[in-house]
Amino acid sequence: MIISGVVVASRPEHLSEIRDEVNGLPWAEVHFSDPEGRLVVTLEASDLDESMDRMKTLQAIPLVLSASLAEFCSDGELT
Amino acid sequence: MSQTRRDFLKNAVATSVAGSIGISVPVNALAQVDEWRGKENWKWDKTVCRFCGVGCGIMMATNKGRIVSVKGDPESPVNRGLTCIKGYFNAKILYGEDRLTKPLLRKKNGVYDKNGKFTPVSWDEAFDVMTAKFKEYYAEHGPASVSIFGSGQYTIDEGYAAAKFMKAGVRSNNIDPNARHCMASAVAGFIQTFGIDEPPGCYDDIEQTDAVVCWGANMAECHPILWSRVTDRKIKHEPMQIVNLSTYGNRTSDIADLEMIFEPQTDLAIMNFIARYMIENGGMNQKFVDKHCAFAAGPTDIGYGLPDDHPLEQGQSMRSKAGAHWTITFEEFKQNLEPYTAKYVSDLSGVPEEKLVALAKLYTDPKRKVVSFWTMGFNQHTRGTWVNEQIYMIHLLGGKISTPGSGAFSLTGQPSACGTAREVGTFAHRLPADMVVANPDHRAKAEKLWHLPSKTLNPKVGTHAVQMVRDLRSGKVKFFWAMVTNPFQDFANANEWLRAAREKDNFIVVSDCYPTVSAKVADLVLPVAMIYEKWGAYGNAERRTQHWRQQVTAPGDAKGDLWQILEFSKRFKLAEVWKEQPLPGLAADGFEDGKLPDVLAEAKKMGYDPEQTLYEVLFARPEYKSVRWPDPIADGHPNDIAEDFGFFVHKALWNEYQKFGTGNGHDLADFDTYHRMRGLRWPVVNGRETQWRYREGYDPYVKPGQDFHFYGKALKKIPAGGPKGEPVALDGKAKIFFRPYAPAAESPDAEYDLWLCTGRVLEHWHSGTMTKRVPELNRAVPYAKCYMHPADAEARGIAQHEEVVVESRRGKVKARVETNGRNSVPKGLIFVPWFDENVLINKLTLDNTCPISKETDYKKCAARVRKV
Repeated sequence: MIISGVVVASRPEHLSEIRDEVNGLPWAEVHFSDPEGRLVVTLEASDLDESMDRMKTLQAIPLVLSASLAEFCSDGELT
Repeated sequence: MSQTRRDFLKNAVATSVAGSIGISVPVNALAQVDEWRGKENWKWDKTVCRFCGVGCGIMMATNKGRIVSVKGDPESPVNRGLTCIKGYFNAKILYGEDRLTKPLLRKKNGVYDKNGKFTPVSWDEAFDVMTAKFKEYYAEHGPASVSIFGSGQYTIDEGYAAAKFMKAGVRSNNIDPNARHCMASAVAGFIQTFGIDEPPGCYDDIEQTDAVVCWGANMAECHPILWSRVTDRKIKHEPMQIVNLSTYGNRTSDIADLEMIFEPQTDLAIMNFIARYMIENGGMNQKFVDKHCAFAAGPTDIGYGLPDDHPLEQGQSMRSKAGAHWTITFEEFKQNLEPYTAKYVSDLSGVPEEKLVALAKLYTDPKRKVVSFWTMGFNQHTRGTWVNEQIYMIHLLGGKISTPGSGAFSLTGQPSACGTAREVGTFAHRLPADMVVANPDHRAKAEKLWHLPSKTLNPKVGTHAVQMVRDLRSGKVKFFWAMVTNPFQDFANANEWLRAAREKDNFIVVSDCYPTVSAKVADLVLPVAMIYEKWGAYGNAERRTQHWRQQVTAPGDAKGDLWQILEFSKRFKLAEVWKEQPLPGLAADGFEDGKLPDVLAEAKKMGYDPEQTLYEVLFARPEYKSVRWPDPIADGHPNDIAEDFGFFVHKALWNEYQKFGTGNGHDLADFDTYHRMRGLRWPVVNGRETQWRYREGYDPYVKPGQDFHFYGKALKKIPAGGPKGEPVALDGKAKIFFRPYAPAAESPDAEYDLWLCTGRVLEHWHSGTMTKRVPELNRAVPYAKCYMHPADAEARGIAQHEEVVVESRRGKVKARVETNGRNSVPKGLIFVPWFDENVLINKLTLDNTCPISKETDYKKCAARVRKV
């Protein structure tokens, strides 16, 4: 299990729309956001492969300006 | 993982991320994170990212000798807690299945044989054979027959040791880095314009600017973290405009206000149109130009950097004086720009006139702050030096330079193209801190700091990268050592050099971590310790020097490049290298033609013994050995190299290197300071870094009342009015060059009807040595595709994803066609990334270079595509 912390940037007026969309994904959760349009999202994945695919899914959401990785950790060694 | 633990980890990660980017979170949540961090028993330390030139800070956690977690460093001013997708893999690149862990030598019947099979050997045997081959060639042909091909990925200490070994030790200037392929044109542009290397401004310009113009730089894909700062500015600052100039559509256009797709090579003309428009429409800052600038021009028939006998070089009378230049008047400058009307440039470039005007208006508006960014689109260009100088022309005309929010900024592609290749000077013509081998004062200064007898250093410029492989082909270069780079995949016209490596009488050594194309054609492969397996330092694109500590130990017998250089230097005695040496073609004041003098007599006077080794004289000097290991700055981290040599080699080298830049515009801080900070931008004077150079109030080298002062010293005395004019001194001034449009060396024709452009994709870095070892990245982008316009594909009867043959006059490869991918190429152009050794696109590219910078143009040659 790998948990990644991702910062998603959007225009402030699109914030709630994107929050709903991200929370609708079974493996993603929005934890925090700010008035500038940034959201802190965690995504769960079974390995790095899946983590990266899911990062890309976030990036591909219309109205998302950027999705940058900030932190990830796993239980034990990286595999 | 249990549900509670999973939720706990998610909350901890989210809280930590929010904290690092400045989103407020409840105090008790932060306390929970601290508790979690405490329980994990992981050791966290600051490091830097291994990949591009942005220089992001990375926090790395280790546990039981392995890297277990990575996060963007929230305290790093560069990336402020974020990383791009490659951040996942800083840890993982170390653990590829085919990691090299033993020296491998080609052997037959138990002994070295060029046609033998790779056989694991001990380090002693590897060095025995390597030394014997080196000395065999060196004794017969002298210092010009040996070479090191280095890297913009060398750590600073590795580059410094390699340059010192070559230049001061074996007296050869044949060391040149792969940065020749990526940064040389930027360097030549900086030196000719400002008299000193590297950008005046820094990344902080982004948060203060009103416009970002990308010229041949796909920042969204290749510099994603810097791009996130640009998008952030776009959201927060209403007047902000983004322009993307490119020869094909890419992700950088997604949030651009203006996209301009132009015919390859016509950037030269677009620049001149902008300058013409600025002068006509009040965009010239007269006061700034009068006080701080001089106008200049140079020869035009300078060729394409191809071999002498190439048809394209015939009749190019100024090939050998391509870098010459002289002052011209403003009236002459204006007259030269006259032909570059909107109509002429629009016809030439294919960019509509209204778009050209819209762009020119951004630079013309005196109130608008503008930052221009570029990378390989400018640098890998047969007129790379010119086009770099043209962007300064525009910024200098408007006075939009060295000012918060305004500047012309050359991005870099490698993590230490600046810090190592350029600042240390691992080039055929350079010495540390912007000094050059051809200048007797510079040699004298280096000889003093390196404790060398006078005239030890070789005044003849060595063989630059492209010439190095041509000399391998002609047999002039016989010993070739590649470090931290993959030349036989990287060089244009690759078939030629692959053959030269295997078929000629020579000895190829490749130090690498994985079996690259270059390793496969080598005679000896040396396994290396990778970035976090050793101490090191990199210098990023904004002059920021960043050091890190060793985090884990290298596998098997793999050893750091620094260790390899120092061990190799133990095998050379002064008597072998500091005696008289043949050097064909040498002609310099104070030197007998064709030879380097014997300096052993003076060496004895200085207290040296001819039986001493280069290791003792260059590296293990008493003042070096007094820098002790262990050292409290290590904070419990290992240092395998210091353990082996018995002193703190990295710190000792830094202490000496630091002296080169002090008082010279290149001032650096002491070693320990960098381990306490998130890097510092040089010049670092009295403990303070410099954000904007040449500007009063920011740069300690500019005196009160000067406002701006372009104090770089190189090439400031040039002929006035023409090539034969009286020399005039331009102290303190920057040059505004006029450079004309010139067509590409090879353009599409009836036989080869498409432009071929090469470059990167996000998931892979350079030749894929590291990123291809990461299964996740490899699955995401498993092979290089040929991006093609749908109409071009249809005209050839080619379907999406069909395998095709891509060929040029020099070679061919097979690749799959992509008509609908992330890059939307225009009709008449194909784009093929170069990371994939199975689609070795450099077999097709032409080894044409900018004649001034000697940097290859990988962005344009003629090719065709046909069905298999």
